[in-house]
Amino acid sequence: MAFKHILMREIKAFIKNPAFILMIVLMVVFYGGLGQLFSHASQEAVKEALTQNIGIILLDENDLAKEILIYANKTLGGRIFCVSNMSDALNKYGIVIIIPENFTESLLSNKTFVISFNSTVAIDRFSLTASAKTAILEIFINTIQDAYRNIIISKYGLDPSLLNKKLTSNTIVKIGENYLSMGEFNTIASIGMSFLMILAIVIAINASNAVNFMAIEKVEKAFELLLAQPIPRRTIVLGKLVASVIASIIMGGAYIIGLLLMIGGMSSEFPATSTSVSEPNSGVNALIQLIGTNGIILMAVSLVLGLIYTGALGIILGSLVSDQRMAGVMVAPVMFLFMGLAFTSFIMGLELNTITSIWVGATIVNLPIYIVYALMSGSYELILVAYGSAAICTITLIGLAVWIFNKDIVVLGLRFEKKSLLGRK
Amino acid sequence: MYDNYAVYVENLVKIYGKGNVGIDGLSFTINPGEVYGLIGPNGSGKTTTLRILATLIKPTSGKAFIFGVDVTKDPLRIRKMINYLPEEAGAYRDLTGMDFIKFMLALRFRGEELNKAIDEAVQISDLGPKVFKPIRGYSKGMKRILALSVVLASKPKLLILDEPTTGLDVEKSLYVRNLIRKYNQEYGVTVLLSSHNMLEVEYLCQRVGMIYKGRIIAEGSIEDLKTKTNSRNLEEVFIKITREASY
Ligand SMILES: Nc1ncnc2c1ncn2[C@@H]1O[C@H](COP(=O)(O)OP(=O)(O)OP(=O)(O)O)[C@@H](O)[C@H]1O
Ligand SMILES: [Mg+2]
Repeated sequence: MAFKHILMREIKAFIKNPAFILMIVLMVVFYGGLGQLFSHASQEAVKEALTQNIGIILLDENDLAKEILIYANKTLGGRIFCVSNMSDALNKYGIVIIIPENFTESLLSNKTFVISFNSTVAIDRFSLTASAKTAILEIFINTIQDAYRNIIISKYGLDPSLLNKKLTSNTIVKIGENYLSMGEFNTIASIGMSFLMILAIVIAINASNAVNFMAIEKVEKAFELLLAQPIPRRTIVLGKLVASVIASIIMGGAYIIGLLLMIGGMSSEFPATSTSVSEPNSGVNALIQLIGTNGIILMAVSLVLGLIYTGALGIILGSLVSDQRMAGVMVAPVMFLFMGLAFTSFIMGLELNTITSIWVGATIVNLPIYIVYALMSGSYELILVAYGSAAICTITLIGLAVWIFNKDIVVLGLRFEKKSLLGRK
Repeated sequence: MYDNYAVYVENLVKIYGKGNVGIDGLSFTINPGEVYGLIGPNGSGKTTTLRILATLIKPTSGKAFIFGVDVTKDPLRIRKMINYLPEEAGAYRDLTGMDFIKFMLALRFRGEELNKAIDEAVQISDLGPKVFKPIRGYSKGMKRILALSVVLASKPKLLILDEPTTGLDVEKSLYVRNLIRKYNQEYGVTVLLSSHNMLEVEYLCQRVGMIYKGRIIAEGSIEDLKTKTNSRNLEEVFIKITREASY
């Protein structure tokens, strides 16, 4: 009997907790929205793959080579364009494949078994569509394979199995002004993503920590005594802010060290088998090389700026709560908002332009990743714009936090009164 | 003229939004060096008044001055002159009593002055070796006296104490009352306190304000109030005045 009463009380407690209800609603909305977004993004990626044009630099002036290309062009729906200049072609088509001088010779020779093309893919950001672009090369090479087999059968009456050649692509990825091997690109994409995702998570969790610390302080009942001491409220806000930044940097550092240890552990277990997949550890090195010292400094600055931003936000929310239950109500939407922003841009990618810079600065979580993109493509003015926007928003939030600390609400806490929630009139 | 009073309150109103009235046109004054008691039923507005004077919340309207300084205009100057023991004062659970004392007093004092204040607070707290243990393991009364020790040791011009002895045992209550009296007499600290313990108020206060539904309905020295209402003690005064007011 007693069990039933206890059970009922517990159930009532969480059903009546606004944080619990809010969490359920947000979960559904958030993951539903994320699913929608993901399917939209993959559709876009497929569409892009199906419509992407390809620039060809034909060094083999042989008729057979031309014939193969014409055949492949038909199969691919007229998406192959011959070009002469590499950099123009990259700007125009994003994918350029060089057909080597000895292409047909190798095709017909019975001494060569592997034919490889040098190709270059230009990528402006890590995203789903970026990986789609590299997949197009695969499609192209398969098409060429089909093309030469069919032509050889119809023209020379030869059995193509006698000429069983393996066509491969030796791909270079161009990001901004940097050139990477495909292996490097893949490791950087995955390591970089997890790394930047951790930064985004740390920035978001920082807000939650700040709210919870304030809630605990209020529950401990030392807060009113503190507020009556002869110190400006500004000092209290700044103290809390700097403390939360330091705590989160330590936490973020632990995450990143953990990640590096994990990658290190993996590399010793799985020896690299093919040249196209480089070892994860060299991926870390490549990543550091690619980003450079400046990049690392800029990322550290972004992280600190991000932590000050969310710390201030957390303090604002924390000043409104009176206990941990209310803290939960406040934190849930903020965490989901930041996580949502982070996921969205990882899926969709971030265009490099002024408006995105302002947006990224104002919403802060994606600042580190965006700064890396901008740095790699040499858009230094966009870095400035993003930092400027982030700094203005951060300073505004700190000002708001100090302002709220001088209001009654920091002592009394926000109340959700039933009457006001349901509406009396 | 306001600086003739330690506290000058006139027509003070606090509305907590949605028509929740905290105090409703409250007026009283406290002379420097006095111990003044605010008494009244639960929810009558004592904590509200003390919080306004401690610059924690802002009044909706009315005047409040402490030693001539406007409470709403210059809160930082007010906080330098006062110290405040909240209704439910607690302390940071992860600190030791000693750390808590050091932390709170370092916000007011430096150097030699700080060391003296710390020693004084440690002595008041009467925790013995437990002062070096985490507050997490303290009882309710121990936490209350710890909070009181930093408030007293800061020797402000005005002490604002919200129910200083609730939750303390008989002996500890007596100890705290004697301390309040000592700081008032030896250091000239003016005291404004609220209490539900009429014995305590009678023992400590020179003057008393009876607050009811956010207004002062009777004020004066304890003797005055007793004669006016023809009562033997302050408890009787309290009952008679509140009964009368509720009709
Ligand atoms: N945060 C708040 N929001 C709304 N109303 C409040 C709030 N705090 C106090 N009140 C209201 O203001 C009135 C005065 O409350 P206050 O806490 O000042 O009373 P009190 O005299 O200290 O009572 P007690 O003896 O129980 O401590 C009460 O009616 C109370 O309901
Ligand atoms: Mg009270």
